[in-house]
Amino acid sequence: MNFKLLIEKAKLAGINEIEIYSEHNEGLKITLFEAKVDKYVLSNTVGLAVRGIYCGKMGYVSVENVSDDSIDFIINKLIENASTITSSEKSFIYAGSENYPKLNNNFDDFSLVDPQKKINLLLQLESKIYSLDSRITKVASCSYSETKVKTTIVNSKGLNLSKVDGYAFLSASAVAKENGDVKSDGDYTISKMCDFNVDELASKIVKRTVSLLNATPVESKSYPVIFENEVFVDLLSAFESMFSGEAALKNLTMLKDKVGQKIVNDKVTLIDDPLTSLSFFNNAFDDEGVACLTKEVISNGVLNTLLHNLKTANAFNVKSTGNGFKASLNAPISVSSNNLYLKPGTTSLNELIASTNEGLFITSLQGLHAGVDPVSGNFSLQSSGFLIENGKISRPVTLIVVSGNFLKMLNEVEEIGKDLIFTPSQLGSPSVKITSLAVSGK
Amino acid sequence: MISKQHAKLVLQNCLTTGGDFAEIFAENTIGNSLELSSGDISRSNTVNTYGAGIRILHESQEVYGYTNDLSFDGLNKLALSLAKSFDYEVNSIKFELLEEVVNNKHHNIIDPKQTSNEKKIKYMIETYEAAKSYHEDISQAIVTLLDESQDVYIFNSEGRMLKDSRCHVRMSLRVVASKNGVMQVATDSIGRNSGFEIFDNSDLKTFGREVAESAVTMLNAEEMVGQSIPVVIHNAFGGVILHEACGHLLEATSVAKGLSVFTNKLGEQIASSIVNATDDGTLTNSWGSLNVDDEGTKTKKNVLIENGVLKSYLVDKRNARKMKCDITGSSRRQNYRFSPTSRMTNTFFENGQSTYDEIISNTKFGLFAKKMGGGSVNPATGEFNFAVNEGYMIIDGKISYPVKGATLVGSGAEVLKKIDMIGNNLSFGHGMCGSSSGSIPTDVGQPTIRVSSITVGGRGGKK
Repeated sequence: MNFKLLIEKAKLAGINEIEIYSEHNEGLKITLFEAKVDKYVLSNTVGLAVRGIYCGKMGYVSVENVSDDSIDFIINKLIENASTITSSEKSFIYAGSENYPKLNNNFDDFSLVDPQKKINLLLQLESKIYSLDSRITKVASCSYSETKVKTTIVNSKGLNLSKVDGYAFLSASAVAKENGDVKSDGDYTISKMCDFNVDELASKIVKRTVSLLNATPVESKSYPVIFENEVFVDLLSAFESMFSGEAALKNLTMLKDKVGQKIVNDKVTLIDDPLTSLSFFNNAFDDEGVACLTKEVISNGVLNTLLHNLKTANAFNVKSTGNGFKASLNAPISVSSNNLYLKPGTTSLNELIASTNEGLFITSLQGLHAGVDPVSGNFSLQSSGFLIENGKISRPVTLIVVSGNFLKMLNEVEEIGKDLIFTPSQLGSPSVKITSLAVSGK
Repeated sequence: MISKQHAKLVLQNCLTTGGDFAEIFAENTIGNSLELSSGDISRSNTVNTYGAGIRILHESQEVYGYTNDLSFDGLNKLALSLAKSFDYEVNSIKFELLEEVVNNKHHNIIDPKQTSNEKKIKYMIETYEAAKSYHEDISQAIVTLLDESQDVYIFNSEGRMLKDSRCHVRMSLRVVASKNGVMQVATDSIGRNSGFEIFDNSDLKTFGREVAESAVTMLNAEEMVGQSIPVVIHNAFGGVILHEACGHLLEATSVAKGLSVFTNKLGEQIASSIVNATDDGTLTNSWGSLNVDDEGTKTKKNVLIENGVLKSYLVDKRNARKMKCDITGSSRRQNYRFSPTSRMTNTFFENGQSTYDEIISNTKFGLFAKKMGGGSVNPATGEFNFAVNEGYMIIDGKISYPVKGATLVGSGAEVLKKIDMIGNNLSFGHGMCGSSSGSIPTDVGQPTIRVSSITVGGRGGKK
């Protein structure tokens, strides 16, 4: 599409400011089942998400037919949608920040690698999983996927930013059987280079799967609970919207009026760092073109700031924190964290376990889209993991429910581990020990 | 969007390396979403989904690709690069594309394409006002209204060529009640494969008020005490238990690979003998209904469980090849970016012999799960979880005080056997189901049922 033509035509139609966010995706996914390629998926798509200000209000439209034929459709829909808005918050199209952080973002062009090599990786992964433990009866969803995304933001105020990113995933799940009990679990690894450690991934998958065989519930009562690092990331992910300026604007977070106040235990420091080299993904700018920056959201228990985009920042009379991201190409600009992580402590996971007389070590949470409420902070989640007795892991545990409130739980953090990890969801955490949580089982 | 002549050439080129089936699925979809929060329209967005997916099968092996370039060159380039991944003896498959007319069973009267935002907003305001004015503790109500008009074009090497038009509308309501620094959310939604007339025929005031009432009731509810007890699950969205604990385990996606606990169980007693379960994609204008599935097969009524005995799986073309059984009109996908696979449509427990009153009065102590939230299941183990959004304790056969924060966990195979009473008040709830071929509209449904024992999690009780 001729963007210049679109911008000119939009201006003539009374759309004073307009922005075009475009994404070009190329992908490949290969799935293996029982030593054969089960599914092979190739993709190449382009999408445009356009927003424009008409009579002071912002309208949104996205198209995938990217020929000039779509220009009139875009303009008509922008006007119709903008004219519908009645909320009074001011909207912005941004001219650009003075400086953007420089990122080191190298990745291999995976599309240049022979597909057979990728299939070989999967064959190796599948056979390794079977070979490690005779109780493994099936290897499922053994898949390789690669993505290359080119993003460009162009607007009528002269902004012209672009970025390219590429990465590949390798993942599988396994089913194990013993004495009539069946367990299933999986894991993944992600890389920007063609350097997968297949053996390490296979061992992790097998360990995760067989260690839960013959697991049973525990008695219902309160226990000290240690969440494994990746599991605490799941909780952060479920509740990150509590820190969103957009949620505050809509009265959907308990933290709306709490900036500057002590909200949790002073062991807790929560950092949003789009630039950290520890994470797999970095951003120099958000989806509105605002430069990204590092900030402490909670410093030793005190809420420093909420996360903002241009609109929510203006509504609260502060500056954008560079967190104006959208959930998907077609979604409007919202607010999202970017490498939000809990600052690690100095204790190892083994020490956390050793310091627990009777407690639970939770390694998996299920139903995260259903059993959590980011407005109230309450959660009640199907969990599995291990019972700790006398400082040692004593047996596997499943079909229990761990319940609590996110903020109360952060207030009852007993110890924070040092094993910080980041996941591809751009959130990070070490393992965390909570003094007490309600557990339902037998 | 794609001419017959071009489609045929593309399909032929798909089969040049030994593929034995080829298919083009193209779509042009216009979706609109509006959001009303704090009394104002805060968001208005239009999305045009436009592209095609090409699939080639060799026996049960699949290659799939998708693009937005619907020119002949774009599609042909994709077809040729997909064909490259096969290297089998070439079948001489001859076909002529024969245009079929799909008989539309799910008419829409107030077509979203012809409906102004102004009219749509009227429906939203009616719901919003009812919710907001219900009680002084209601601090926020957010109404979203979605409509999606999807035109799909299917061509395949069996000579089939057809167009189907689907029209989905959905209103969702999220209400927040707040008091003394505590917040409580309640949600519900109405969805149909129809036009906006559904909102003229629904009582939006009652809808808004009931969600608000749920939020206020739960704001003041006690925390659920975790324990294993009898649970009475109410009708409508309560059917999510069948969807999660059983439906997903009957999808050929996991059955064909031997990954479901219900693999090789056809003809066996998998549920208590009072249980009858159905998946029916033909129900007129229902949220999960379709004229034809995303492979072009007419949808039908599939009896899944009859008197507790497993009667059928949900099967798509590709998995039918693996399982050597018939297709069931159940192959679905979110859009052209996904290859289709077996999914649910409208899945429900049939009515039983008891009444709602009998079920409650025959329960000495238990949980009444009046409104269920979402859940998930692991098909390999059958372990599931569901959130109870609105619950009450049953004491001595009577509904007693409200409880919040309850989550049900268990194993699908076990819970089906523990259903000991089924009511006669079947109704439906409207959800979005996420799985390997994306997020699709599905209805869940059931009459009120009782399960003799389930583990219920919660924050209350012993500290």
